[in-house]
Amino acid sequence: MNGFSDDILVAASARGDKGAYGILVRRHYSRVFGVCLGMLGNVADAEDIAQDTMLKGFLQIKRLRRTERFDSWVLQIAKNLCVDVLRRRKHIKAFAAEQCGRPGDATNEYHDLQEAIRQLPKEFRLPLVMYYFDNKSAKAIAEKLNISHSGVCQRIRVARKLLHELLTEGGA
Amino acid sequence: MNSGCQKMRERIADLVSGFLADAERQTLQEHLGECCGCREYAEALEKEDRLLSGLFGSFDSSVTARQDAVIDAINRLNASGRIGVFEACRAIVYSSLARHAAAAAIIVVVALYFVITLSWISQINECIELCL
Repeated sequence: MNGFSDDILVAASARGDKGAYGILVRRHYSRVFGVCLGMLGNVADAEDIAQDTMLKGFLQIKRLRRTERFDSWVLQIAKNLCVDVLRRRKHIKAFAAEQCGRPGDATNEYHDLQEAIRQLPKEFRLPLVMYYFDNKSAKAIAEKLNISHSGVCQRIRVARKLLHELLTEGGA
Repeated sequence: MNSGCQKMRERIADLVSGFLADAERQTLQEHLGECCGCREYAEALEKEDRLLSGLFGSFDSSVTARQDAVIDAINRLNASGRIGVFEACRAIVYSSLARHAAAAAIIVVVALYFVITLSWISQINECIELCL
């Protein structure tokens, strides 16, 4: 079933086929997580919201009429959930704090980088994070964020400049 | 840094991102050959790009475990496609409707408390007046 297109898997999922939805999860989870991370700047929250997004997607999949648009539909769910989280919170927890001492992260070589990413304004952080989660395709990011290709390039350009300034100021 | 370098630095960011057109790439390479400051800037951005790739690549290594967790959660949903009891309770507790209902209940309780307290006070006052 892995070779089936999204619309076939969506139709099967709408009939309650959890296996079909599992394939959609494997296919789209990374991008959903990337969007959540870009919006929230916090790995732990991004994991929770990405999971909630995929669950909500399964529960509401019968409402999806344009079955071939599962990708943008599920990303929109993720964005809405992230906006809810941001509304509830005044301050985003430190992006790096949760990473300290996790297995596999024996060194904190990414600590300064994570902190700098967290400090980027959301409108620049999201395209930058999506760039690394979306095979570095500005076109794909433009479609998902509903902005122009040149707009994506501009935001990533500014994000790199700001990130460099933050890292240089931090003495990294 | 002159205004020419300023422009070149925007192109350096595009070069690192892979967005730079071939024609512009040639001009930039020529500038980098002559300008030490811009060359260092380009090297710094390339280093940061490698770090970013490494950072986000490290998330990829745990993505399968996260996907498994999502699929497990979906499999816990019951056969009718409805959410299980635990998840339903969690959804209700965390829903905005529940929060509003709780806020409304608190307001009603406080209001009742005041109404009852005021009526008791007035009754006590009446009793005192009768006694006097």
